Amino acid sequence: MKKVVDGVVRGNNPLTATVYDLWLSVPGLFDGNGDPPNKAGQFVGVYVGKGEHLLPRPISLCETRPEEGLIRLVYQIAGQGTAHLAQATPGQVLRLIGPLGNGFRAVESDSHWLVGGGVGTPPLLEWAKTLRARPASAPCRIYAVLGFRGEPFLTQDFEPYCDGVYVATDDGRFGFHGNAVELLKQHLRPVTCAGETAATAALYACGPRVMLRALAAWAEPAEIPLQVSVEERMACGIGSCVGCAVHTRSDSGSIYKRACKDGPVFDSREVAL
Amino acid sequence: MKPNLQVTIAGVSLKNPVMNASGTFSRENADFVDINRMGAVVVKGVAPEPWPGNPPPRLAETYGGMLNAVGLQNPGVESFIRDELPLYKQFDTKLIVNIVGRTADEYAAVAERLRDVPVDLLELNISCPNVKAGGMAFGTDARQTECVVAEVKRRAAQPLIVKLSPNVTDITEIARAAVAGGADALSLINTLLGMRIDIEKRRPLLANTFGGLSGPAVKPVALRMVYQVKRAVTVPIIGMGGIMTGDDAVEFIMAGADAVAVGTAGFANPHVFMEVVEGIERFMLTHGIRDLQEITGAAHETVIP
Repeated sequence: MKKVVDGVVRGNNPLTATVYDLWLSVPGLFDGNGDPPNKAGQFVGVYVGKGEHLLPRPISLCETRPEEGLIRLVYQIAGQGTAHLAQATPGQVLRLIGPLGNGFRAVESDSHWLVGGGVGTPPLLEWAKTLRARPASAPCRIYAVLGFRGEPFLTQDFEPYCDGVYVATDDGRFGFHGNAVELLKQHLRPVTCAGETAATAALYACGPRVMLRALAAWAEPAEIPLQVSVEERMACGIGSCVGCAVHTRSDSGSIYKRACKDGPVFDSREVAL
Repeated sequence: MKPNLQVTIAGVSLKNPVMNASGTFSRENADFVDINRMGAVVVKGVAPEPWPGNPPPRLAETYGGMLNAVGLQNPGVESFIRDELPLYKQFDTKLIVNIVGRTADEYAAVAERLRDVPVDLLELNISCPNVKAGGMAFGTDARQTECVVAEVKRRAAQPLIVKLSPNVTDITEIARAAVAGGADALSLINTLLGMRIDIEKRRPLLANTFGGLSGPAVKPVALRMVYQVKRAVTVPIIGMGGIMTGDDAVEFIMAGADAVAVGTAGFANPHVFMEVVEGIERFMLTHGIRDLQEITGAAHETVIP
């Protein structure tokens, strides 16, 4: 159930010049049964200020630690609100609303490919953990393909949960010189003698629209199931104001769905990226 | 002694003067607000048929407020009656349906369709600045305002609140025209027309270019307009525009509002609706006010005519 809760900052440290790693103690979000309070792919709205910044900032849940009542938000300084958030210090109280939105759904396949672009990477960590924790009756290989414009972050955190973590940088400073989609295509081919085939793969992606578009353009004709997590400016975060419209493709022509309530995760064929 | 928060708008009794502003609230808010304790719930604008709304981006934050260009996305009156009305009727509060249209006939058609539907009041949204196809024209022109109100009144069963646009030179002229057309009450203000520019992309931030400004930033303008309209008409007034607290609501009541609506504040604080009710109650208790009528329009009594 969605709640407004207060969390206490345990750490808020930079991972890069613009990306911060915020750990919050929010026991009010957990039910005490040791379950995560959210589905991977969901987000919280963080209230960052009073007068100047009225609207909650939607930030995906990167990780949760139910036994400690902790959540982790990895966010980028994108504007005044997140710049303000970057100044939060341990012990400070932050108010949140959540968990919001829907989450990723596991598609039955032999391999799961988590494709992240920049600050789209964090929610995929929670998804990697979730997929890995699934019972042994659903064995699967999990791969993360993570692309960054410059300095990578969070990549090592994926390693305990993935059978492979592949990193791309646009400027070539680390790993593959190129973007996440190009790197994915190196590893996942339509037909292969050994290794993974696209026929048995499922894709889950989060990142800039241009990345999601390129991924959909490749995956859809090849009939590889692809879920995308989209971002859109939000006000209420709960589905009331209809501000966060996402253009969808539907049988009756295009309509708008709500990123905060109907999403942020959509089947790629549902949305006009 | 517990203060009496009950108010009457156009013959309909509300348990307290606080409702939500149209377009900012839905059943999703029930997770955070006991809707049974609100004076009324206002449904976002209902059109004769589904309206898709504007392309994104529809939202932008501003200092002390926000801009919206949602464009009145709604599933249409039939879908409202079939899918949403039964869920709203679960709550023990009054139900106000905001109606939109591109022509006087469209507005009236929605009103007519709601005649035998268990809705308590209608709110005529002639003031939303986001609809390109003529919606703006009604609320900025006195004669068109009077005409559309009269047409809706001819075909409506429930009492009619007319929601006024602040994007006019003289709000009292529009207020008088609405009353001349038969308005049973007035609500104001709707949003103020504004914009933002994305300096990296070098173009307007909103896809629709302009949007409606709401939130605390508009409160002084909204208050001024309620104050002016109070001196111009005798019908009940629902005041709104940047209310965040019970004290803000009391300002509107003293300016002349019989009831108030809270919108943008709900995005910053989902629990605000009850906080405003409790804030009004606390003000009345500490000042020995038994009945809201004692302070409605009180700010006018000190003005030298």
